[in-house]
Amino acid sequence: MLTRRSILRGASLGAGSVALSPFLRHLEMLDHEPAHRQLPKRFVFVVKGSGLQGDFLEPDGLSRKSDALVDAKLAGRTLPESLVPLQAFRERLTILQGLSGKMCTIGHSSFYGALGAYKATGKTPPTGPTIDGHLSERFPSVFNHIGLKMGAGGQGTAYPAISAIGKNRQLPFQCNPELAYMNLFGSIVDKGDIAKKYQRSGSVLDFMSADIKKLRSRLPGPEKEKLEHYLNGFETLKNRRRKLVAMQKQLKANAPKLSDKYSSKVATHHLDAHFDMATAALITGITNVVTLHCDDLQSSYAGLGITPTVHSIGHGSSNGTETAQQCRNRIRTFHVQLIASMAERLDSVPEGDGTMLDNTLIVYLSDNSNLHHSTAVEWPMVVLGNLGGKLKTNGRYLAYPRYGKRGHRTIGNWLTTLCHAAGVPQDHFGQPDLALAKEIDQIGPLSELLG
Amino acid sequence: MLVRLLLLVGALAALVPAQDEPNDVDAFLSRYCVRCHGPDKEKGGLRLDTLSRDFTDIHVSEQWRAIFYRVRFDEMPPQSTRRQPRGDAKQALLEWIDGGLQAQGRGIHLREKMRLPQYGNYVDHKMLFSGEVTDLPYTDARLWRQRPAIYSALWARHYGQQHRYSVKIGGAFRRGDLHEVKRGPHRGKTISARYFVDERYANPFYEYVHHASGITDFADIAADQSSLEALLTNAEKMAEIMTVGQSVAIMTEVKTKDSRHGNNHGMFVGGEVRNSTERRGRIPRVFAAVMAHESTAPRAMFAKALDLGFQLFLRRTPEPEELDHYYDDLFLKNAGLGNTMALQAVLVAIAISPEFVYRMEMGLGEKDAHGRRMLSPLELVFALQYSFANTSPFGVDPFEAEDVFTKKVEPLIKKALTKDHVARYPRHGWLVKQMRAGKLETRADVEAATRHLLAQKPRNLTPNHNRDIESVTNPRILQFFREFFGYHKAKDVFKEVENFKRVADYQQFHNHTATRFMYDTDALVLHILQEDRDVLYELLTTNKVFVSYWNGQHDARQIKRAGGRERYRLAHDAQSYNVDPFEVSYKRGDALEVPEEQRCGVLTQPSWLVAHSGNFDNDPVRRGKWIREKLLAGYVMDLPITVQAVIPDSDTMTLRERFEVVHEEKCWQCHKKMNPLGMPFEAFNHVGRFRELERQKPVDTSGSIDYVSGYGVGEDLEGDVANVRDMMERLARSPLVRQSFIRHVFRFWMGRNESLRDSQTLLAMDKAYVSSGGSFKELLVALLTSDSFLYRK
Repeated sequence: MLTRRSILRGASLGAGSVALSPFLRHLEMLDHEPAHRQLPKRFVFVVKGSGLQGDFLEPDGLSRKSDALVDAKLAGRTLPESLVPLQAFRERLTILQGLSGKMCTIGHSSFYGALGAYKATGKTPPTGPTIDGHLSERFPSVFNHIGLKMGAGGQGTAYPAISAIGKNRQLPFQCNPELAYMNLFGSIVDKGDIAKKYQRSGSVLDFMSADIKKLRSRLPGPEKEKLEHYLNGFETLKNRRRKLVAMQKQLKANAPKLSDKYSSKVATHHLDAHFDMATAALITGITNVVTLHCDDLQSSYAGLGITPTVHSIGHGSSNGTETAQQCRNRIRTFHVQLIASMAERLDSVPEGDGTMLDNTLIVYLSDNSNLHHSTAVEWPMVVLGNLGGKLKTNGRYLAYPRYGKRGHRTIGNWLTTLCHAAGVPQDHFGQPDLALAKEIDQIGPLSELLG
Repeated sequence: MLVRLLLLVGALAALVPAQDEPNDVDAFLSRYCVRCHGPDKEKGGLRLDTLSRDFTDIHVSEQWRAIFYRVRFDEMPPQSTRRQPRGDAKQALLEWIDGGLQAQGRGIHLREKMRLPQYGNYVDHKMLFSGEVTDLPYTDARLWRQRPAIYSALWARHYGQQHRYSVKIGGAFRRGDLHEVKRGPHRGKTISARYFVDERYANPFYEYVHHASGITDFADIAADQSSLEALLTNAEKMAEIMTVGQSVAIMTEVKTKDSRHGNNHGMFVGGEVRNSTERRGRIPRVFAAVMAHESTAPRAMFAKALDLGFQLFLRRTPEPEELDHYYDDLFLKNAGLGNTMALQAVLVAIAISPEFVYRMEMGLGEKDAHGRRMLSPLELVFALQYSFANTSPFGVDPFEAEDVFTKKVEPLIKKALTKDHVARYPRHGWLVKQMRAGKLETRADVEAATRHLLAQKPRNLTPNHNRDIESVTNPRILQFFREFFGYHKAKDVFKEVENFKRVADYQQFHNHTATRFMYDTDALVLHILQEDRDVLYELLTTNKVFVSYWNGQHDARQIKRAGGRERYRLAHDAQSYNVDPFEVSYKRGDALEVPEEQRCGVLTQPSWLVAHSGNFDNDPVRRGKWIREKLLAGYVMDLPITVQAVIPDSDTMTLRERFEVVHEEKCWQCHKKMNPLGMPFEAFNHVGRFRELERQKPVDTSGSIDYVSGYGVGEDLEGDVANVRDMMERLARSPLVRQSFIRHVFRFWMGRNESLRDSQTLLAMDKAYVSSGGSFKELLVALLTSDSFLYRK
């Protein structure tokens, strides 16, 4: 047996990463689970800024502030106000509290830490994978990962520093709904700028891959191989476009309609559009992993009548008629409404013996744990879906003992749980909290949640 | 992932095994093996004269596999026997066995692996430095993927930034005409603003990192699909910036009775907020002309645009056939989308072209009598420049451009969106001027250029997180020392910092300490390089230290913030070097001399010690492995997958005592090559502070240097050592250590492992270093003027 210390040590030295291609890993995984071969697994991470306040996620009569594990049924309880839009999904929901994340940077954001459980900053490259990037490589599709973010104005690709495939490899997020639409559904658009841009990028790929082939033929043996890898990249991207063309029927049937909200000047319309696209992308199967980054500190919810920025609200600014806390509550409710409509949509599509929602997991959390200025002693989350029964998330309120108390667990344990539920178990995901290391067992999944 | 990235180049060659040369195998076996494993003796029950060569038989191939490892790791023939095989004979046998195993899908792909930096030491040391190999050195013609730092120097400032502008109206009066709103509903109010530019883009190239080699830029690394995806995303953004401008998010805030401004412009609190987006930038006239042309832009007009596009990214002018190709096959094909989009397509294509992704070292100079071609002057410009820096040698010739932002707005805003925050293109570097003057053609020219670059005025001798390695003169030299020693990885080792506040001898270590350690050692390395005498000896033995983040003063506010004088003293950076800050006088930039028995070179710097430690303990295994591989040109078998390395926990035993478990035979056969070299560093705790007691017992700092025979040099090294200084003094004077260091210098600057063919280059480097009294500059001159560096074939 490996000891806890040796695993901790291994984790921090980055050892033990298996160098298999994602494809092989995927095959291997399918082999281990023949029964589920037909049903894909889908993951949605909805990440908000400025903390997700634990006080507002407690159902009637339940409290997380305990030295012991609180494990209660949601059935028969009134959900907290901002979760009311999810009332219809109460039996498929878990409110998860009490996990800590002190291995992460604290302050205004934990950046990659929220989904990666490690120390990170916004300005330096990631030092390891985050769970969405990690799963995207194990559940590949036309797009392994789709990242969408509410930006300010006409921004294009952003790097909010929350998602990464691995060391030094951060994942991009598209802020501009039109550009996102072009990337995802451009193949079914037949006129306008989106169609033109799609055509343009296709012609660049063709032109350059032809050039590389020509160059390759003039190179000595070993260097030919080197170019081959680059050329393969072009082939993969071209293949992606071919696949999208082959999927025209599904795409046309499910792609959202291009409406005013795609070109709107109001940022909240963009977020709405992003959720629509994410849902459609999951339904059509062009991806299995989506991360929606709702906002950052500079974002404004003026579209909801909340004029101060997220940062201002975090510092107690009111919008003139509502207090800062009321503004925060409305923003949270807005996110939950978007999640609820995504869930409804997925639940309306039959799959296997149930619906698509049955094989999907939606996690709502903040990149800055529980507060605007956080210390990461608790990291509240709302979890919807059970991944085809792999997670025991059916209508539960689960709060772990407070930081440092016996039975306390970290977000690293939670991310490890996701790996297990996804069928790609590993000893531990992310860094341990070394200050806890000697007292609290930090390795492994949350057994309470594994089915 | 990495496996996929690394080239399979050698694999094909290795598949042609030496199977058809059994005579060599027979000769080897009968000469070195059969005396003990033959008809007379059958040691271990093994006979090699009759062992089957049918690798399809699993038992047979298993036996050959065991033989492979015995020979590879110098277990056999035993070191005690006088008769030892030559390196090339040994290599031939190993490749033959590997070939046989590969045919059964069980080989280790030796030849392929030999191209990776962590296998560099597999090349026989004795032969490399014996002088018996007189082949003329050269490097194969090659593509060399841009390293991340080069891409970032070329890309970040111009195309990799997010622009944000924050304007506030109202609030306290500010002096100056620009700070008054001139028109509109807020006329007469105060206006102030702040512009934010953040670097935000994904670098398409990430570093190759193998913990043992440390070398991050190796020519064998390929660009692949993930590189392409990031390149494409970046290129599309660039094409937009160059044709329609950079998008700027503008947030205007009007003060209300509710708002609090403070001084922090990025983080408004309160007020009425409006968001908008504007485009700014300077569009080259030649691009503007193409875009403004009513019908499809004609070839001549396009030619000027392409010329600039090539200059911006490839730093050269296109050939006539390239003009035709880009015009006919890309621009015209997209003409239906309009001139702007067609031009964007062209710019995107240039920025994902192989020439942009790979440095091309084909050897375009004259062919010599031996079929080798020297690098052309243009190739030399890149090869030399990137030996010393990450910035492109070429700048961009000035071009005319027009402003995108032409709106009538408040003068303050106008200024910010046109005049200020403009990224300027660099000018051509000194090497380009030399090339253009025809002074980069011969070996003598290269030597003169190298000496010129090495003689540049030193800048930033004490780097810190604000002025980092890029502002040091010739940053690649410091980068080499970081990667060779690996001390810059101290910050990657997580420590239970929260708990340290309460533990004696650990209080000085807080969240940023490991990063500061790196800069301390940077300063030490730069100091030694400034002297440029006995560089390696000094690096391994100096008792000088630097405390980079201390100016030698004691600020009263800092003492207060620390919670009083005593706490300040205990938590002070100097404590990491066992120095009481109140008892020394120190000036930033000057070295501090500490007792010789406490500090002895880079390996006793806290940076190196922490970088080679665990989360809770020292790591004598990694430290010993480092010395074995980096200083003794040796190798240790990779951890066998069957081994579960577990050192028992204990609150009473010292680490040395806990490590007793590896003395068991099956562990010790590998650990004997590491632990005795790593144990002397038990003189330090696991955050690098010198100690005399561990768990209330006097620290045992003894160790030994063994297994250094067979190198031709180094026999005098063998024996027990009492402590770190004893060991380091002995190592630092050894020719074996010097040569091992030189091999690593070669690898770093050549971007490949040395082969026997490079023997003469290595000998010349060694000679230059010794005869100059240990000058690192002379060592580099010898390498950069060598055939290995200059010739391709």
